[in-house]
This record gives sequence, structure tokens and C-alpha cells, in this order.
Amino acid sequence: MKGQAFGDAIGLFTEFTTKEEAQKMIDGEPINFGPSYPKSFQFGYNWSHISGFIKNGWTDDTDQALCVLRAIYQTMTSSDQDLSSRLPHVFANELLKWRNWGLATEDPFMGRSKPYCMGLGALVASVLQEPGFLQNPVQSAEKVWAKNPQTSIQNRPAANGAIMRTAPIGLIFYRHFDDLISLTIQACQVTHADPRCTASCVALTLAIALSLRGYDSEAIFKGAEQGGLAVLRNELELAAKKKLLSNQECEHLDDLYETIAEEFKMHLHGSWETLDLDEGYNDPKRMNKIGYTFKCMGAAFYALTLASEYEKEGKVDIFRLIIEEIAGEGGDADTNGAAAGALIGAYLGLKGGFPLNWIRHLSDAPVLEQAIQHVEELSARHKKTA
Amino acid sequence: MYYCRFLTSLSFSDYFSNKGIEASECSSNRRKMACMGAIAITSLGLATWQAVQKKQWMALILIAVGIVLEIALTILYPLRKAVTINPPLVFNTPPDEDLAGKVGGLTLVIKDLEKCYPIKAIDPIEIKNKQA
Repeated sequence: MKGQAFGDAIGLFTEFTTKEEAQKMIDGEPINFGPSYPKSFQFGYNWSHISGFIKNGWTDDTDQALCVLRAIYQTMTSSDQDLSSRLPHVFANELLKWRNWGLATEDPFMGRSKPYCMGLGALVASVLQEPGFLQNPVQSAEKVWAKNPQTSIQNRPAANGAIMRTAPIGLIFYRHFDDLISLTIQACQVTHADPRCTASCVALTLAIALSLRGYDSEAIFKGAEQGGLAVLRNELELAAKKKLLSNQECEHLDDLYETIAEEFKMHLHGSWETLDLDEGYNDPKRMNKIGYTFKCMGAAFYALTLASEYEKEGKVDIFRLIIEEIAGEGGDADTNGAAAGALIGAYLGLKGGFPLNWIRHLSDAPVLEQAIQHVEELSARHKKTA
Repeated sequence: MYYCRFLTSLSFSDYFSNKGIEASECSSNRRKMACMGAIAITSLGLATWQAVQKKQWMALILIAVGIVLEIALTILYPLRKAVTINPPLVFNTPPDEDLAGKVGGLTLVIKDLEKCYPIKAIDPIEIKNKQA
């Protein structure tokens, strides 16, 4: 949980910049929290963006992860609730509340210091505005995603708004892959119907679960790839059955799967160079793809590769090194940082060495501590009930 | 002039009633909205003052209607949403029928994953550290 929050909060410093701009900002001064922003970040390239958020705090990415946690908590602590079938509705409710009031200050359950939501993505906003979202959230998301079913899937949004929030599921349900996978799918599809979003979310939560189960990075990659691809295939088949894909894609489903699976693997095993996290920002002629879910997934898995390498090299400040590298890549740095932070946090635990400055100055730290307690409690409860 | 000012004042209600949608889409939007709101309040105050000075009662009535609408949009709109979001109703919704199809197709993969990656014997403290 801390990994997610720190990755998110540090990534915000360079969100919506190009790699070149981000490097210039970081070269000026290391990213640290404090009473005022580091000089090289004040009135920098994205000042108008970052200055609107809670200082030294996380963004909507971790807020939404806390919404997932709240939804799981409510469902698991209410008797006679079937967790996986009820979660979408409870989570939809939490998302709407968050959109209207943020994690309200007066809310004793993980209330933040400012009662409004910040940084809501366009896709999530559209889905939340759909009539009947509370009653049928998954169908509402499908409706928005497949507004024009004849549009090729490659030209539809597959945003990173779901992968950034699913980490708590990996942390809580790491003991049972069936619950882990079904709940990840549910939490993703409340707003993101694209099979690429679902596959990337499952790959991340599986990787977190495998980290908690004590596996090395090689096994984590294999397990995440196997699970992610299986979910991708399954979701594409379901989308074709529901006529959410174009006629041509339904007829050539195997080809479509092969193409997307290749892209999935390429991103999963990518590096900063191949992932090109500021794509579209660095070249106006290219389409803006910084918010692509596979990019975020790739960033998290490359962070895992680096964490494994740095651990072998005996480095001590691994977490800071990696999160600063992600921030230095620009693009959607807070979301990439949130997903990567969650994964390397689960992989390294306290060995990752969270910088003292970050621990001391993170805003709303008590909220995070409360969230961590809930994760531990729910994880223990799931062990007993499973 | 009063009509224009009255319409400008309505833009302030957008900031509150759409709080979390357009306004929070981008922080600079939020600041623009706040600035517009401040201008609107000042305009409304000036309009009211001028209307009282010149005894233009019709304009005053319009301004009063504007203020009532403002309050209604600011307070009642979020309240309406609050009524819509009713947890007991949410809990009573039927289970998602699609779920069986979604996970059913993955049963074999899940079994295979469980077989290949069983939980290793790890110190519970280590697990807690990783969860934190």
C-alpha cells in the first residue's frame, strides 16, 4: 500500500511532461516532500497541473485503490454477502461517492484532508455519468466502450484507470487465485470494459500475489503472463459473444487475440526504451498514448526487473531509485508510479527502503496506515473464510 | 445588464454541482471555475447594490430568483445524488449473472496456476511488511 501511495505521489511531480522535461526537472534537485516544492519543480512544465493537488499527497490513483478497499471491506464485513457477485455494485457506489465528495474529510473510514476528488479520468467520468450505472455498472462500462461496435478494438480506449487501483486485491486475496482473478475482473470492469484493461489488471494482481507467496521475479513474470493471456482470450471471446466487437473482429478472433497477445508480451517484457512512456508527448505527430494500460503494466514489470537486479547488486535505496527512474520517464508518471510502487513494494517489502523524507512528510499518512490495517484484517479474514 | 450578470452568476453553480466531474478533470479548470465564481459573486453583489440604489424592484426580484436557484443547484443537486446513492439498494441488487461465464472459462488456468505456484512457507511478519 505504501509503495502505491509513494509511487503515485512522487510520479505526480513529472506527470504530463516529456522525458526530456522530466529529466531536466529531476536533474535540478532530487524529488522530496517538504513544506514547499523543490525549486526545479516550482512553476515547471506541469506546474498548473501539480499545484492543484494536495501537497506531498497521492492522487486519484490511490484514492480509487482506497475505494476498492472500502468496497471489499463493506462486502466482507456484511454477513450473507457473496463477495464476487456483489463487489461491482458496492464499488460502483463507492466510486460515485468519491466523485461527488472525494474521500470526504468527515468520513471516519479513511477520510482525506480535502473533501473533493482530484484528477478524474475522462473514461471513468463518462461511465459514471451513464444512467443506470449503480444498478448495472459493468453493462454501463460496456456501453461506453462499445459505443460504436464496428470501430476496431485498436482504436478504442484502453486506459490505465483500472490497473492503477487493483493492487489491494492482490494484497488481500493472494492465497486464492480464483477469488483474486474474479475480483480483479470485477473491479476493473466497473469502468473499463476493454479486454486489454482486464488482462493487464489480472497480470498486476497476480504478480503482487506471487510476490507475497514468495516467488522470484522470473516465476512472477511467467505466472503473470500465463494468467494475463488466459484472461485476455476469455474476455475477447465474451466480448465477441456479446457483440461488443466489430463483425470482422468476431470472425477473425484468433488473429485478433494473437495480435493483442503479442503486444501484451512486448509490453510485459519491455524496458524504458521500448515502453516509450511519454509517447505522443515527445512527438506531436504521434498519437498521445501515455495513458495506455499496457504501458502502465510494462512500467510496473520493468520496475520489478530492476528491483530484482538492484537487490542482487546489494543496493539499499532500491525503492527511491526505481520510482525516480519512472518519474524521469514523464508521461502518466503518477499512474505508472502507483502500479510499479505497488508491485515492487509487494516484492521487496521493507527491504525496498522507503526514504525517510517520504515517510515523514506524506500527506494523509494516517489514512494510509488505516488502509494498511484494513488490508491485513481482510487478508486474515479471507484466510479463515476461504 | 442585470440579466447578463445574473447568467454569469449561474456559472458558479457549475463549479459546485459538477464538482468532481469537469472541475476536477484538471486542476487549472478548477482554478478557472473558482475565478469565474469570484467574479460572479462580485457582479451579483454590485448588481444588487445598484438595483437597490436605483429602486429597480424587477431587477431585484430577478436577482433574488437567481440566488434561490443558486442555492438550489448548490445544495439540492448534491443531495439528490446522495439520495440516489443508497447503500441498502445497492446491496439488494441481484448477483452479476455474467460472473459464472467470466470465471468459468478460466477454471483450468486457475487450477494450473495454483498447482505451479503454491504458497511458500514465509514468515507472517514478512507478509505483513509486503502488504504494508
